[in-house]
Amino acid sequence: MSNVLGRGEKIFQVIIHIILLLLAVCAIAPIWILVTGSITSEQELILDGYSFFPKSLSLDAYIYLFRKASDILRAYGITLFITIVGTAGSLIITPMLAYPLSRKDFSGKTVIAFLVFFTMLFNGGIVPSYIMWTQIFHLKNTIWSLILPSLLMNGFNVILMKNYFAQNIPVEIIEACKIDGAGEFRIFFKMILPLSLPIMATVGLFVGIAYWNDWTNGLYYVTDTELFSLQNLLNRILQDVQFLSSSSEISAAGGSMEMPSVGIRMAISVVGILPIMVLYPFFQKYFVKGIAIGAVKG
Amino acid sequence: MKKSRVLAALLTASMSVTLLAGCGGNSGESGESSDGVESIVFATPLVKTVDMERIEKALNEILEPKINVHVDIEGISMANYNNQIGLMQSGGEQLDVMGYIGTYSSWLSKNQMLAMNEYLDEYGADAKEVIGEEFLKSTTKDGSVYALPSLNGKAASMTIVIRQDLIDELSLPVDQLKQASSFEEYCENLDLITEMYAQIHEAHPELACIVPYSSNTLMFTDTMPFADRMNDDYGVLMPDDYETVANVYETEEFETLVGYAYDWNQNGYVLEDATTTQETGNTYLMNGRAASFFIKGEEGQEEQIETATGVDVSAIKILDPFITTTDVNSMGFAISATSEHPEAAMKFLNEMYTNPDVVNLLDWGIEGEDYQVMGDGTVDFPEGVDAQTTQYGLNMDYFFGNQFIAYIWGEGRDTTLMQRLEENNKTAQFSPAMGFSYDNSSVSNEIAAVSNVGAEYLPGLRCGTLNPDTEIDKFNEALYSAGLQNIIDEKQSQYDEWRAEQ
Repeated sequence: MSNVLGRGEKIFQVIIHIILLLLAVCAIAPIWILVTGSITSEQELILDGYSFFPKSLSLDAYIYLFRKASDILRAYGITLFITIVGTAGSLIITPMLAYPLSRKDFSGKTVIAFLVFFTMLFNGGIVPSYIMWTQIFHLKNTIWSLILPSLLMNGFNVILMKNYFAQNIPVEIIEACKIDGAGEFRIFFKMILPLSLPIMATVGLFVGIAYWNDWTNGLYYVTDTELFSLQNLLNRILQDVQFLSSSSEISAAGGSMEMPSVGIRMAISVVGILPIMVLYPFFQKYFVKGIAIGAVKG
Repeated sequence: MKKSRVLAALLTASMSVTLLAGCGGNSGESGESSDGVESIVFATPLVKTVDMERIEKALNEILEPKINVHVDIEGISMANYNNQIGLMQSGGEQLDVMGYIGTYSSWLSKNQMLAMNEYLDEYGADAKEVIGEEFLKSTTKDGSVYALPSLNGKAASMTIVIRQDLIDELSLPVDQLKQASSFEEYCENLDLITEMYAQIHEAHPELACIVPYSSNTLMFTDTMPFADRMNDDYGVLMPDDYETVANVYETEEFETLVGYAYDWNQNGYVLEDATTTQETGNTYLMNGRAASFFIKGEEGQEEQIETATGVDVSAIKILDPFITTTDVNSMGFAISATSEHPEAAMKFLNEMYTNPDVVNLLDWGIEGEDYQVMGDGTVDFPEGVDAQTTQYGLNMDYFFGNQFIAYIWGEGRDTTLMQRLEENNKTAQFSPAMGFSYDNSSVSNEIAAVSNVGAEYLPGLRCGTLNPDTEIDKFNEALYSAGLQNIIDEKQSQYDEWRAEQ
């Protein structure tokens, strides 16, 4: 590309950059407030509210969390476990469904593809799901209740992968393998998967983030405090605070309640998003590539 | 290649094993075991995340030998409680006793509770006696008792909480405030408070004279003296006519009260973000932002607030208590409509209202670990434990059954408190509609619409940011076009029916 830009183009570049910068600031500002909020002294938060550059710093919130470390660490462990096991499981079974769907010579394709599509548009709703998982599979208060429901396999990811296979793996390769005497399993594991790293990384990231951020499964299926995941714990703390501060019944009955301070709520959020923020840049290169390739054409 | 295949096989295998194990493990859990001990599930809302397993174990050590009942406690976060109960009931899970806070009328209209009369008479006679006829009316519909209200100080009334150091510094005339027995006396109190705020504002312009205690309302504006809110404020009984359901927002009294709020706001006495804040009055008090706030409180609240905030305050009741149905049935315990063990459930409830060991365990935890009895008969943290490190610390003594037989928390507190609360419950004025609870299922659409209108106008009116001269009319117009009249008519007809039966 030539380095000499026309005058009009230069102005265009400047304007675009300004707009993008503003958008970037809009995205970063809340996170910045979150982080500074967690290290601002409680008194300043109440008296002056949040600010971008707090006057009085305090690590009280983190010290409080450190004292509660056993709860937080356990929750971290649970989240880590379900994220790893869930993502691995998802990455094993999703391509196994997506790959046959991408093959033109697979006869049941339309029916199965329809079923996959169908789940993207409709689902049974929470009560039937709850009955199924608790009454038939008895998952309530087990670690599997955080892994299996809704997250393990997702119609959208299957379609994304199917499209990737259909467009990036030439039929000729599969034919060549067959001529060389490879069976279907061998073709799948030896040829298809190694050729699909970008889409695997993309779907892996999607699923991983979904597991990391999930709190709904924990909300419905877990009442045992030992199985609380990080997001579930955080969500419960925040919701309880909100409920308590709006419940007139309790204050009328003479109950008063020590609530975690604003700073602590912020600090828990920071602790919750930190790992994702650290990991994201490493995945990003695959991420963009995979989604761009997989998304072309339906 | 081998690796992936092995991994896949392992995962599949491990999942199926867990599924099978899950099936096996759960089937033997409920119901009667061989030694005649019946297992019941007790769901309770909790104000914070606490491990209930220790409590459950200690509880069963008391209950199993005494009444042959084994209780599984399901502690559920309060914010999600109602949903979870709905799921458990429609999901066919075992659920026997369920505590509630604020969901009585919605459970009643959805038939989620079992009519417990026969069990109450047979297995809960003692509980019935301590609760008393009058309070039990609040959870009775058409002759059937659906829940047992928690026993605590019900005679809560409008109370102003002011920082003691300000009273001393400015010699505020707080002793002139009196428990009002009429609307006029109530207004005299408010006039006096206005003068005090002027003094505080002049001496300490940096303080918010008044902050909302909770829910974005200054409180004194939404408790109409001696009116029965009839569950939700949309259609109330005003003191001049306890027979007709009226729209409280059209009354002169409402205009007068929000007028105070508006004046205070205009003069800069009210916290700026009163209409949006998520913090409670305690937080503002603790951090030196608030000079005072209103609460609906009972005796003992002063000490509660001082313990929670570390700030020396004076809490002064400015209105006579007036007990309505909603005040009494706002929290309590019901037996699930899906319960297969109602007798055992009632036996357990009976213990919760009569056995101090059970109540203390649920209120304060395990003796020696979570609390210890002090020399003066109160309880407090044992050595080495404080509010931050305690494993329990629910402080829900107002909730679990009978507060009057429990210990009082906090060394040095007045141990006659419970007698006084109990006395107040008996001497307070009761609403003529005591025992009437209305079924809102036929007007649920209107309720939703009207509540939306309320959410738009009420915070502004109650905190004094909206001018009542112009906004009250708009508010009422919006309420009527959202269907308020239907709600009032429905309430009136149910109320007439109820009165005819009395």
